[in-house]
Amino acid sequence: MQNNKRSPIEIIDLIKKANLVGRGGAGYPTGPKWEEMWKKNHKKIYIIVNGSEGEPGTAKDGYILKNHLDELIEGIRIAYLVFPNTLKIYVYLRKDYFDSYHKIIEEKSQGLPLIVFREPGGYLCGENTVLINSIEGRRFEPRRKPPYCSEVGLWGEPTIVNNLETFFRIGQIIKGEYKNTRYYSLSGEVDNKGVFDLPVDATMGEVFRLTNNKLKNTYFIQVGGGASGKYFLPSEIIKEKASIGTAAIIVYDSTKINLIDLMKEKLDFLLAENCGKCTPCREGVFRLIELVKEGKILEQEAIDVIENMLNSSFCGLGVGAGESFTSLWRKKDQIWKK
Amino acid sequence: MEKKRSNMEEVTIKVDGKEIKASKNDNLLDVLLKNHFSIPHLCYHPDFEPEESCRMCLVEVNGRVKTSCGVKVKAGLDIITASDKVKRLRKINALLIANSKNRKKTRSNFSFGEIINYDMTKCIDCNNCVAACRAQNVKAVKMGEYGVNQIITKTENSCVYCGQCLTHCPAGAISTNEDEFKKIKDIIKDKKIIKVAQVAPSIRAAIGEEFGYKSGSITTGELVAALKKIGFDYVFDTSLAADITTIEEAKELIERIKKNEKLPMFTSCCPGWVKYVKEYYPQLEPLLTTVLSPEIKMGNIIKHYFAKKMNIDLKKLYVVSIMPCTAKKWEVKRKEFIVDGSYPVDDVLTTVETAKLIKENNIDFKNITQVEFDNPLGKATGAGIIFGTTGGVMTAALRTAYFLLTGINPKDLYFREEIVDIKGLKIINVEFPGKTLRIAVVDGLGNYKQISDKLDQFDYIEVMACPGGCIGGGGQPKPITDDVRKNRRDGLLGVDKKAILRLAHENPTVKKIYEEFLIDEKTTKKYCHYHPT
Repeated sequence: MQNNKRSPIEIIDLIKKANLVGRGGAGYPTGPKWEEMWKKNHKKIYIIVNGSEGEPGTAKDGYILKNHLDELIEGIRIAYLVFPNTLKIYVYLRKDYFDSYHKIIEEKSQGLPLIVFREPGGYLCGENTVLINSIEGRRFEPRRKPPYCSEVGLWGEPTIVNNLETFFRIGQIIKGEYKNTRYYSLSGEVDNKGVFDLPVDATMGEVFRLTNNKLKNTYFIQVGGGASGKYFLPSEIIKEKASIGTAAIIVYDSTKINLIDLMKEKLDFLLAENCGKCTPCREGVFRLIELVKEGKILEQEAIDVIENMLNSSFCGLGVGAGESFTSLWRKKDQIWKK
Repeated sequence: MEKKRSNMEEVTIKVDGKEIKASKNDNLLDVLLKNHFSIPHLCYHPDFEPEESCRMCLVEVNGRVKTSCGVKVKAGLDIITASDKVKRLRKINALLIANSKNRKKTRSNFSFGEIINYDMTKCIDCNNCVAACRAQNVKAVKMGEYGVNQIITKTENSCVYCGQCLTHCPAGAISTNEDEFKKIKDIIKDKKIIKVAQVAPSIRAAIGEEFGYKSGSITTGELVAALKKIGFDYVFDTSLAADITTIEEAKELIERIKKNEKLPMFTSCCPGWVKYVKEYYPQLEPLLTTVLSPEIKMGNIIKHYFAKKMNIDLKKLYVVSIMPCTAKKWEVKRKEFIVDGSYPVDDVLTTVETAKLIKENNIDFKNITQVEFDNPLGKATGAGIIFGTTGGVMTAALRTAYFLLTGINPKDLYFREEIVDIKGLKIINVEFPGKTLRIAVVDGLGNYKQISDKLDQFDYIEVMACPGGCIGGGGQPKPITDDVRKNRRDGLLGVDKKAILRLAHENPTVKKIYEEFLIDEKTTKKYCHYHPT
């Protein structure tokens, strides 16, 4: 095969030239990440393929496993080519994905030091350091950074963690089939739901147009996932790029759901999936739920608690939820016009 | 506790516009507190890697809000300690922590051996008890469940009652048994009972902190006076029994080395260590010295020597130990220690409980007229006093062993100065005439595993369960940090260095006890040694 002839640095150059950005949500450029790791020439590293896909509304990893498994494994093989010093490749899958695909992945990945790992927890395990803790059998809690996973990761060794889609895109890049696209997951109040392969720089408007979906004036959308995604109005979709977070787009109808019910839905999720580590996220979510129950969710205290989540949470998930609520708060009066 | 030495390169940082010098990689919160900036904090304890979970110690670092406990000092940091934003966020977090009581109030308590109580309604989820127990390699508690349901629970591992969880809890959720404390207070009030207190060596260097003294201040006279005011008829010094421990232990060590059996010999003064051995290394039990801990031995001396001398009916005598330790509460209830139908000691008060008792009695500790320990059990040597610090038992025993072997006293009473360092583990060779004694001194149970598989390399090993020894004990005043431990240790070493008598075998009271009470080997064994049956 042609790929096998490429040197690690050629592969990294191709990834850099393609401007590939990680698909997990943090938006970190993959080429420089790999190059930095490659230059350090560690004796042993781990590679983790993150298929936790816990962000509500996101379905792309499942879509890839179902429809493009060979290309995904090709991408993983390329990673092993760049990092032959890899002790183990963990394909970390949420429970239902694991149950459906672990056998076939094992079959197709012969020759690779690969383990398919069943995610033992929930939403939080998608965060890189929680994921690593969960593999090590530790409590599902985020770790302090620094040190970053690339320095001290799984079992204390340098570790590359990339989203499952990122590996799939690397496979495409090396084959010359990558066309600057990413997967957008569309759900909610749209006719044409699903996962769509569209340009990375598509605006929200283009995503709806290309998927033959129409937005009514009473609709509003959440982009980047159901827990940490930001909220947008129909009037904003012409300008705003849709490539936010995991590129999950959820469409709501403001005549069908009110602010309080929406908050309750989001908060119930965050309460159930909370790791408990830090005050702003653990107690913030608890207090917001109390405020909903007390009928005080629209009072100043709620925005204080949200602002605190955004500014002082320990990990990205608390910050993300804070960001999400902040954007909802900014637009709530436009979404639900009085 | 052992901590990674920070790089000593000095850098300058800016705090609220002022230039401050600090060592590179130092913990920013430590630096701010040391420079007297007021930063609220709950979960941070310098003994552990920061959890960064309470989010109270927020500051602005170069314009970004960060928890200061999670920032390592480097050149160019520009800190604002109390911007409006930071103050607001801290306040919200404080209110959120307070609000969590709403769901915690229905939680139930649990206890370890009715000695250490966990009140989960007060817990603030900081995880320090888990970290403390893990550092001790005991792991008797863990954080269970997640999110708002997370709660500290017991594991299958047995607690050794060292109390390190208690001293590291920032919320007062972990404490000694309140009911027992009340019971002790009631007995002390009983006028028909003769109350005797014995005071452990380390108390004198720590209890002052509860009354505004700097850590390490020696407040023996104030303490004795306060105990008398509370109602104790006699107040004795456990350090006196420590002198007897020293003599007996030195003899036993020489004997074992001569016979080349049951080596290395381990100290057994520390009940946390003894309990740890019983639970986790039972094969070591025969290697423990048979000499009873100073506290238990002192109890025997009070009940079977002093009481007889004074014609006190044992039924009317109540012996309370003032101890730096929570595990002592377990030790005094050990049935194996009963002599002629009596427990050597009836109850134990920790340093913190004793201070509470003094406060409840409205005693002005600072201005009280100092009183000396009572005779005849109040005169200890410097060797007995340093039992309260790591390396102290070892140092005292070496002094007397040297004398017993050579007939002369050692020139340098500290042999090797590092014996009393607080650093978790010290492995030292001590040169005796004709013999190199290979010793190890461990403080902090978790450090024992570093030598557990090379015991054949040692003749004599001291282990103290708590970091720093008794001065860092589970019953001592909070906070306990490296600085506090060092100050308390220096306090005790200062007493020794100033003492006229610094060798256990030169203690005239001890000599008298041997002449009048421990008259032969049989009697000495009965009151001073432990004999597993």
